[in-house]
Amino acid sequence: MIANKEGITQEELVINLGPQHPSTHGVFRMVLECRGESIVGVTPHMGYLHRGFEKLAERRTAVQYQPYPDRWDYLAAMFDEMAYIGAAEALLGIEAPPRAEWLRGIVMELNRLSSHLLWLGTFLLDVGALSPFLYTFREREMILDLLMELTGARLTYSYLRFGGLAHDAEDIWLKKVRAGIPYFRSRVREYRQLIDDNEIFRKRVQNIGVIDQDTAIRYGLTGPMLRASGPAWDLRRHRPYGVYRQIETPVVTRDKGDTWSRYQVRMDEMDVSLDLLDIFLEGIEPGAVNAKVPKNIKFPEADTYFAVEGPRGELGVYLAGDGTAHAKRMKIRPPSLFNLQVLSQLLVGHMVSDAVVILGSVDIVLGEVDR
Amino acid sequence: MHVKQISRGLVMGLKVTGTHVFKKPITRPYPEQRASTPPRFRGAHRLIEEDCVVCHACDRVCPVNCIVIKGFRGEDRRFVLEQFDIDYNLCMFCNLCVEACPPKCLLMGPEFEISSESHKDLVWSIKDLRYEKETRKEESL
Repeated sequence: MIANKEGITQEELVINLGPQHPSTHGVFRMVLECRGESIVGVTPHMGYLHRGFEKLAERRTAVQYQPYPDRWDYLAAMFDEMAYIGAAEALLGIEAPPRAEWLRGIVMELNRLSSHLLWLGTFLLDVGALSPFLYTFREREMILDLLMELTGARLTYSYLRFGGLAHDAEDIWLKKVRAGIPYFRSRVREYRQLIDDNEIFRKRVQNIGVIDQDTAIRYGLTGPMLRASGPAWDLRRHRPYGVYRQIETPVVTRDKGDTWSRYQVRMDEMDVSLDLLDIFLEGIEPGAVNAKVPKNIKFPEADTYFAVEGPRGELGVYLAGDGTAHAKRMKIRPPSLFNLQVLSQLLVGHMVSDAVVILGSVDIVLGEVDR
Repeated sequence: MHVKQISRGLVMGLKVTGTHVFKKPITRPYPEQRASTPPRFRGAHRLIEEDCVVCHACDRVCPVNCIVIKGFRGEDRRFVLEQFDIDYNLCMFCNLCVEACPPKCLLMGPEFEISSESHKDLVWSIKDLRYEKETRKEESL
């Protein structure tokens, strides 16, 4: 601000948030133009974590590319694997055996829980609450331990394979998951007790960052971001894949489209995930986990698009083959990238301190945005 | 009314906090207490040298080309391993090499503390990777 003789004139102040600011959830940089405390313009900068995963698919064989999807969205790696493997299976005409599909459902829902728990912790950290972060990380660690026991790694699972899985799950592991569900359910209730009625939290999130239904659809938002604005669109229900074909997934929606609604949708989704886990554990049947797959996998000359409902939204993979073991072209549709586009519209008019909260409610993972 | 609402939220939150005051901590002090590694844990590789048939299956499947293998045909026409290097600068612990190994002589162990001071030290040769069959049997028991 520059003061001149006549009085005080205000000039726009540019604030650089990121790329290494802790509240940006990764290496995301946004340049805020502020007039006093309120934001008048936003310029997001992405690409700091670009690793060329789409091009790598053209350089690696289909089998060699299997561990790479884990690195797109490292917080919900199972969904990335499912998207890539699902696309490849559709292209190759392979179908995984029923037990593999059930197990895929189980690990995906567990992964959705762990991803939402991390979101909840860091989001509340953005709002200014420290202790829920410690609680959610305690539970998340338990889920990661379960997944580590099954797959061998905490985050980069490398568990799904063409036409099946890397390992079968032992009965004792399934028992552990079954025993964990009531515990997690009570924990989710505990978080809601801790957070929901907190007046400070409510004041910080209610009517902040409102997206109306039209805007949400026009920007191509998916996942909790979209469902918080009203439309009941969930790929698990409306374009089912794998094990979701056999069940009817309940869709959680809210109408207001503010940060509070997004929080509620994600919290309710955790409950839905736990219910789904109950159904999956009930329905799982013994049998093989690997279908017959040719040793040298070659993508035929065709293309396909396969999308899964990740914790952040529609995660799709467009895969085109040209008769070789390499993909001719692969394109990822990362939900975070699309959800992030609405940010410049969301932030304008709000305070600087709200910018961090709104960005937290979008739930971005930069590994997925930049790929 | 408003004060009532605020205090209700505070009491509800503090109730949850209160239940945790007398609980034991769940964090583990890491260097003193080892992190748990389940049997399937994907740590540093283990190589049963005498079983290796120098088929290059692991080398071919490796997405990052971090394995270097050299071998020659011995007197009894069996392949003898001469060099087997894994470059942990590149390795991403994806388990594809272990799955590809036909004689199942390449494994992944529970060892995860492989950091070192230089990039050179992260290239492990046979003597770092060597693993005796007997110990494997004992561990499985």
